[in-house]
Amino acid sequence: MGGCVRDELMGVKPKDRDWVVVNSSPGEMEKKGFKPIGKDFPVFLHPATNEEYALARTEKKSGIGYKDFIFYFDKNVTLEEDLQRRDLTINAIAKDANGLIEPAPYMMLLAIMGIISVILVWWLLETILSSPWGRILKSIREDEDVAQHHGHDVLTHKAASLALGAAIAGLAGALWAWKLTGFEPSFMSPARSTFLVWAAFIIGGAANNKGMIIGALMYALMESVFNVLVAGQGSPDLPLHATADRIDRLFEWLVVNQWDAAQIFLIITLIGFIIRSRNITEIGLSGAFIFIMTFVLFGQRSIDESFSTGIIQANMAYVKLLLIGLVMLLSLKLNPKGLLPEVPFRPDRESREDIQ
Amino acid sequence: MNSESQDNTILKVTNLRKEFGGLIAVKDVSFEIKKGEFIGLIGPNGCGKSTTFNCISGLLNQTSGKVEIYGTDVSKMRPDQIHGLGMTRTFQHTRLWRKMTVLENLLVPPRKQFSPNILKSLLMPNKSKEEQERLNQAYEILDELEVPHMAHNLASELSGGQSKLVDIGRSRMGSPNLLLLDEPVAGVAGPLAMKIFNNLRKTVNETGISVLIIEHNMDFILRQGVDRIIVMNEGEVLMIGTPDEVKSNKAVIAAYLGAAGEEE
Repeated sequence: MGGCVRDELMGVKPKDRDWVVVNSSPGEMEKKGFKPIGKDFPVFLHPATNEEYALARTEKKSGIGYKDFIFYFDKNVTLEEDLQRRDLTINAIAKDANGLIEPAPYMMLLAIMGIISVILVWWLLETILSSPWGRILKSIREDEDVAQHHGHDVLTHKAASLALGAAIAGLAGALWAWKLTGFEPSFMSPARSTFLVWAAFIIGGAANNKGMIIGALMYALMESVFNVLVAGQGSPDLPLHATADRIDRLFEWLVVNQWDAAQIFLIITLIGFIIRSRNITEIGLSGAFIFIMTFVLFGQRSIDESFSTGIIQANMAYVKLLLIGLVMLLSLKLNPKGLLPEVPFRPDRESREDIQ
Repeated sequence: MNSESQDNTILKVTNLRKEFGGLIAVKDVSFEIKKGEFIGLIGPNGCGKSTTFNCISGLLNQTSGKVEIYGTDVSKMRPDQIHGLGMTRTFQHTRLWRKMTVLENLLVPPRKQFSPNILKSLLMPNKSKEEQERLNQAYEILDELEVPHMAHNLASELSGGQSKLVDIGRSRMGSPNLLLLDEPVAGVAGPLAMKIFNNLRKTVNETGISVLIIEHNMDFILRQGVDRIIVMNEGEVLMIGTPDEVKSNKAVIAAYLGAAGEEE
């Protein structure tokens, strides 16, 4: 439990594992050969592996400091009760053979808070967009020289909008950090913090808040599907194992049989040439070029060096980026305004009839 | 110079000079504009009219010389600060905010969009009285320019002439005391261009603002009631005078009016 579960979730091999034992007592543990550590905490070392085994316990503070706790560690204390005693961090995660056990439905609470935040931010942005400031920001987007000549200091407005955006990102980051129950600078990879956000609004529609939410949802859905795929790569019991397997086999085929792949692209070129479609010819030629080059330049040794374990497996993180990039290119080519384009502000004219 | 005429001077340009590398675009230009004057600026292509505008409005920094608006030296000021003194300009190539509607284009320039209460104007944008006044003013200007039916069209959907009209309307929304128009009616149909000129003259007479206008159509400049004309040639001021004086000046005819002057 604790740190080792976090390591396992992140795909790192845990350094040491800690266990919580339920339905047992100190006497029973000692009888089985476990060595107790210290007098106060019911923690034991396994005789063979030296991993830590702690009895599930609840505690009451009976004085000041770390020592004055009264522990209840009888057979009736469940794992969930033990986890509730712990803090809100990584220490409160435990895992058994069936999966993760959480002390309380924090994820549900977090989801509700997330939805409420989205609604609040939505309301704020829609209101500001239809306010004079929204108009000024749009005019700066269109032509900042002219906006400056009509009396609006571009630097001030840009700085203010950057501050607003940063505040919203900060709110999102706070919720995200809670979900991860820990944070490291390396979590914030450049691809995640810039390219993927950009992809979300290109796909959904720039300058439209609904489009932004749809784009973000599509991206989040893709992310979670790929997380399941990564897990599915490992074990045949998990969902989407068949899909992950298929992707892996396609990848392996592409890596090993480059000449076959090149032949397929050459056939595509031929078809494009026959039906006189410049696009298809170009696709075929560029694909064939790539695979002929890899066929000529890379031999069996480069494959062996790249996949030192001997198993040729696609890295799903890159497959995900590839797919998002593909969706973005298609979206830019076929539908440059995104799924939902910008809606200009068009108020009704009140005194229209009076004038006519 | 007595104090009264000093107060009436809105724009004062003294020995303005602008060099681009070796090219001297504007050579020691000096002129003054008083309150309520409607002034034309003419000259052949490339004689430095637009560069003079750019130096006045703060888009370019002059090489030397001085530009004063209400006695304030604007040499080191940003365009928005100069706008704050009461000056608005248009650009020769119409630059509307293309992905905004015509109405939105007109609603950006008004001053004091955030006062008196910033929070109220941000969070309750459509309920304020000021916003309603701005809307009404915008529709009045659109009516006057004969394009009210285009109010909800995107600016990118307008024709060239309509864009010019909206640009003039937009410059008027900022309630300027000094309006610099760079070829405002180029590409606008004759009768409407005439009407725009008449309206400008009317606005000048009624509200006492000053207008400096660059125009190539001599008919408008010479006949439509411009108070004075500044003639520029090769970066220098050739002469400043009333339309009649300009029409009869031989140097101006030689440099610019040419055939148009001879025909008359």
